[in-house]
Amino acid sequence: MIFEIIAAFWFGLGVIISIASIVGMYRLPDVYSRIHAAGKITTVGVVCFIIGAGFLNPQWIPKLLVLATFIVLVNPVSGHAIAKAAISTGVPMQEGAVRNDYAEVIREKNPQ
Amino acid sequence: MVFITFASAILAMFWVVLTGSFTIYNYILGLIIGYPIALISFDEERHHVSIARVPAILGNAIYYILYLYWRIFTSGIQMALRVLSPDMGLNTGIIAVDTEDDTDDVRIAGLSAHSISAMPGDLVVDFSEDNQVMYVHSLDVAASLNYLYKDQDHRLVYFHRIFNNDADDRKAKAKNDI
Repeated sequence: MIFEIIAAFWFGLGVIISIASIVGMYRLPDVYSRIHAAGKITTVGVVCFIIGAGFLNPQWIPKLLVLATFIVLVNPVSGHAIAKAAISTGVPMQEGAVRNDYAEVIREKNPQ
Repeated sequence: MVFITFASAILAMFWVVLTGSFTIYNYILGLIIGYPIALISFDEERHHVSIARVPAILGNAIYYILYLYWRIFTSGIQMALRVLSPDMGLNTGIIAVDTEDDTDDVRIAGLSAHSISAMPGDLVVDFSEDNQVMYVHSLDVAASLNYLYKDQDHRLVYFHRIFNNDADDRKAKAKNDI
């Protein structure tokens, strides 16, 4: 019983954090900022669900640990892959960007 | 040989956990499956590891992974608070960060990029041609500039320990190259 309550707490936390991720996807201005919200916040959200599942059924804990490890290690890589694809195809940053050290690389690649 | 055996032992451990049957026969089956994977994944001659250094390497690797977990967890919470706050404090831009690594080891460049992407509000978008400069997209440029270079120095110490690159070895190597 007590474990179920603790599990419900972690599931609730996971839901709140995942909703924050969706809010971020809407509020942030451009592709690169949205990847921050999509990648980082959902990692924590999923890990909260995994912790909750561990409380619900302790037999799953070894498997869940491996699962959490893979998710935590792989999520930043997937974020990087999307960002790299975006910048290679020339998706611009938002208007108000204060600094762009990548502009010279683009100039070298496409000399006008 | 040592490194490949060690790597296949770890892969076999993952096999045992994921299949969920904790018997010695299952572990041996994992070894049989893991050994060829380790064989094609690691270049033994280039990345030679002596047995005496394995505990130090393991210790540093475990410390680094725990540090990375903590970093990813706190950065997720911080990002969630940022997108829920009324003023998100956006000051975006792309910063060029030197890896400051003198060994030309692509694993160090890759792990540095992974580690930076785990920070709140930083994301590596691309590398320069020679893998020496990382282009980091930041949500708050002024704040990121304060810690990006400092953290990179701190990380490099651990990466060199994990990948068996002593400072003295590197100096000797640089001399030979000249």
